[in-house]
Amino acid sequence: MLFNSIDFAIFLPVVFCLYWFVTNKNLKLQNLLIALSSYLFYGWWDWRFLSLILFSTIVDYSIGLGLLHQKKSSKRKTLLWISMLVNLGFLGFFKYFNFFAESFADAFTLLGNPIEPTHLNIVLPVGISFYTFQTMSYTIDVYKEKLEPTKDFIAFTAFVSFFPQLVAGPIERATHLLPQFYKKRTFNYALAADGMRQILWGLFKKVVIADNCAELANQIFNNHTEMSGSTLVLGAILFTFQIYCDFSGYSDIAIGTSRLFGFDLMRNFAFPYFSRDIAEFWRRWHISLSTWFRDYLYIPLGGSRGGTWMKVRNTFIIFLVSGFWHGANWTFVIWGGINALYFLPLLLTNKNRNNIDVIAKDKILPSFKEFSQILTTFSLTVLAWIFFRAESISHAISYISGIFSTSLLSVPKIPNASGVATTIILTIIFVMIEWAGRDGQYAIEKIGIRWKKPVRWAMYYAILIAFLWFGGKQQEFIYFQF
Amino acid sequence: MVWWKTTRIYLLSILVFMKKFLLKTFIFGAIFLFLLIIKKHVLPYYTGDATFMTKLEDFDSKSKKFNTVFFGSSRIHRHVNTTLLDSILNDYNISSYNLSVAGTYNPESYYLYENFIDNKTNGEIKLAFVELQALYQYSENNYETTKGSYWNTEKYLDYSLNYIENSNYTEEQKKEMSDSYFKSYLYGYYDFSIFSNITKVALNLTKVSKNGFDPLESKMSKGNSALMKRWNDFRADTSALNDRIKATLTPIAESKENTYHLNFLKNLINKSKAKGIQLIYILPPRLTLEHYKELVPICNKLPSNNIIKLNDYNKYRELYEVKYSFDIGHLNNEGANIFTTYLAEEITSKIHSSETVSN
Repeated sequence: MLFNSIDFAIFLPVVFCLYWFVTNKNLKLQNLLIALSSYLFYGWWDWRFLSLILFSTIVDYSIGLGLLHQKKSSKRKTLLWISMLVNLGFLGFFKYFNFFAESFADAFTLLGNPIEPTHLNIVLPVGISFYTFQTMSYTIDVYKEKLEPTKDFIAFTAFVSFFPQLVAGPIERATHLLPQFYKKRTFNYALAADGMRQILWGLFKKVVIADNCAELANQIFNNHTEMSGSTLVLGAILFTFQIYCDFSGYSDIAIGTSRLFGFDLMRNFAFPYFSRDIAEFWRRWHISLSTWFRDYLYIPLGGSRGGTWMKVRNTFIIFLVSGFWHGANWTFVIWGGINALYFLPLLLTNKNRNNIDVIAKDKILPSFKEFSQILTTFSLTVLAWIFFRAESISHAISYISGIFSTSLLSVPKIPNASGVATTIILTIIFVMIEWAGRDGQYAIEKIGIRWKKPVRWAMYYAILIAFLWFGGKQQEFIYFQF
Repeated sequence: MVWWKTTRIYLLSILVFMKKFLLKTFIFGAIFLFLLIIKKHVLPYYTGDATFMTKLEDFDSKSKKFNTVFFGSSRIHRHVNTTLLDSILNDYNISSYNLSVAGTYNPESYYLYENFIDNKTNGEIKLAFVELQALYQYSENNYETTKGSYWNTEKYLDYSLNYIENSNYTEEQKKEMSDSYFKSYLYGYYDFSIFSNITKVALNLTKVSKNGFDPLESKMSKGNSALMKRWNDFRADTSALNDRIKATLTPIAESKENTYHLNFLKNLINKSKAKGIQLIYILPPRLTLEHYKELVPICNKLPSNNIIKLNDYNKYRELYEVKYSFDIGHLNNEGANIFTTYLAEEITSKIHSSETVSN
C-alpha cells in the first residue's frame, strides 16, 4: 500500500478509529491491532512475502529468548550468528543472488573462461533491507545486553512490522521503539496535530516535488545521449531533489503517522542539502541508516581509533557497504566509494565535526562563506547521485562525459517535456520553505506555529491545493526497491 | 440495553478526550470540501481547456464577426480550413471560426457547443457544425485529467450514464464505462490543474492559428518530434488504413440506434433553432467499425438538413488515400483542404435546401 494512494487514505482513518475507539483500553489488543494492520498493509502489496516477515520475527523472538537463558559466551555467539545468517541469508538471496551470479560470471569471462551465469527469477520483497536491519538491531542489542529480550510476542511482531516504517524506514533501534510497545499510549492532541502537519508536508514533498522532478529526470537520464551538457546538469539536479523529497517525504509521513498512534520514531533527515561539508551531509542524510552502520559496523571495526590505515579502511568499508545496501548494482558501490573519497580528507584532518550546529542560526541568509560551502557540498552530492541513478557504470560515465561538453553553457532544453518551468519554480519555493524551517524537525514544524489560526490554516490549504494542483504522475517511492 | 449504555459512556468518554482533535479535523475537512464544491461550480465552462479558452478569446477579439462555428475533436480542428471554406462559400456570406479542440470526446463537444450558444445570445451565429461522436470507454489516462472531467457536470454525467444504459455495449462494458464516467465526475471536484489553463492563457502561452484551423502537418514541420514519429510510423505500415476503409464499406443498417443519444441530438437541434442557428452534425471519415456501428444508425434517423456524412469511401475516396494522410485517423495539409472542399459542397446543398443562411 502506498502512502500516496486512496487505499491508504481509507486504511489510516479506519485503523486510527479502531486503535483509539475500540482497542484503547487494552494494550495487548492495541499491539495486536497494529500487528494485524501492518500485515494487511504489507500484504496489500504481496501477501506471499508476509511469511518472510513472520519467519524473521519468529527467529529473532526465539533467539532473543534463547539469549535470555543462555549465559555461556560461545553459545550466545552461536545464537547471534544464527540470527545474522537467517536475516542476511534472506537479504542475500532475494536481493543479491543474481548480482553475485553475474559478477562471478563476468570475473570468469575476464580471466578467459566464459561461463553462463545462473539466473533466478526472484522478486525483491519490498522493504526487506529495512525490516531485516531493524530485527538485527534487536538481536545484537540483546546479545550485547543493552536490551532485555521481550517475552511479549505480539509486541515484538508489532515492532518488526510497524506499518508506518515497515517498508522504507526510518530503521528503528529496538532500544528506542520496542519499549514504546510496552507502555500504555494515551492520545496526545499536540502530538497528533504535529503528526498531521508532518504527513501533509511529507505528501507535498513526495507528490509535488519528487514526482514532478522524477518525470523530467527520467526523461533526461533515459535519453542522455540526446541532451545538451546543461540539460544533463539540470537532470542531475532534478534527481537530487527527487531522491531527497521522495525519501524524506516518506519518512515524514511515517513519523507523522506514528505520532497519530502515540509513537515517536527517530528523525531520518535534517535538511541535508544545507550541509557545509560532506561529513555534515552524512549526519543529516538517512540518519537511521548512517547511525545503524556507525553503531553496528563502524564502531565494532574500531571506528576512527587506531592509525591512519585503520581510519581509511573503516571509512571505506562503511561507505561501500552502505552503497551496496541500497542495491545489487556496482553503481551503488561506486556511489558509496565516491562519498568515502569525499569524507576521508575531513576525517584525516580532523575536520569531520566542524559543522554540527544549525547553519546560519537566527539569521535570514547564510554568509558568503557558508553559501559557498553549501554550494560546493551540494555540487559534490549531485555528482555522486549520477552514479546512484544511472543504470550502469558506463551509463554514469557517459552521462558525466556528456555534461563536460561545449553545450554545457547552452540553455537547458528537454524535448517534448511539459511543466519544466513549473517544476523548477516549485522546487525553488520548496528550498525556500526548507531554509526558513531548517531549525525544526521538518520544514513546517515551526513555520506558522505562532501565526493566527486562519493564516495557519490558509497555509495548510495552500499546501493541499498545491498537492492536488501540481501533483505529478504517481510514482513508487524510490526506496521501496531497497 | 446495558451494553449500549456502557458503550455509549465509553465512546463519549473517548470523544471528550479527543474532542479537540476530531472537531478540528472535521472543520478543516468540511472547509476544504466546501472549497472543492465552490471550485467545481463557479468556474466558467470554458476554463477546462486552454486551447478552447484561447480560441474563444481570439473569436471574441476579432473585428470580423463570425456567423458559422465548428465544434469537435482533432478531426475538425485539424481538417476544417476555415479560410478556404469561407472563400469557397463566398457567395453565401459565410464567415467561419473553428472552435474545435484536439482530443475532445463525446459529450465534451456537445457540452462546449451547448454552453457556447447559451452564452452567445446576440444572434450573430447562423450556422453551427458539431462532430458526431460515439461515447466510448475512457482510458484511465483520460478520465483523470482536467480535460476529461471539466465538462462532467451533473447534467452531463446524467447524459453519459443514460447514453451508456441505452447503448449496444455489453453489460460488463456498460459497468466499466459508468464507473469511469462517475470517477471522472468526482475527479472534477479535486482537480486543481484547471487553474493551470487559466495561468497559461493569462501568460499568453497558448497560440491559436488563423480562425482556429491548426493542421497537423504544419505543426510537425515546426519541429514537433512526437508528430514526426506519428507521421513516420504511419508511413512505415499503412495496413491499418484498410480496416478503416472496410469499416465504412461494411453494411451496418441492422444495428439498433441509441435512442437516448438520438433524442439528445434532436433536442440540441431544436435548442439551436430557437436561437436562430441551423445545427449540422458531421460524420467524419476514417473512424473504426465500432464507432460507425454506433453513429450510422443515428445519422439515418436525423433530419437530412442536420447531418453531413463524409465517411463514404466510394464517394470521398481521396479522404482515405495515404498521400493525403497524416496518420491513421488524420489528414495532412492537402487532405484537410480536400476535406474542407467536400464539406463546402455539402454545406452548399444544405443551404439551398433550408435557406437558413441568407445574404
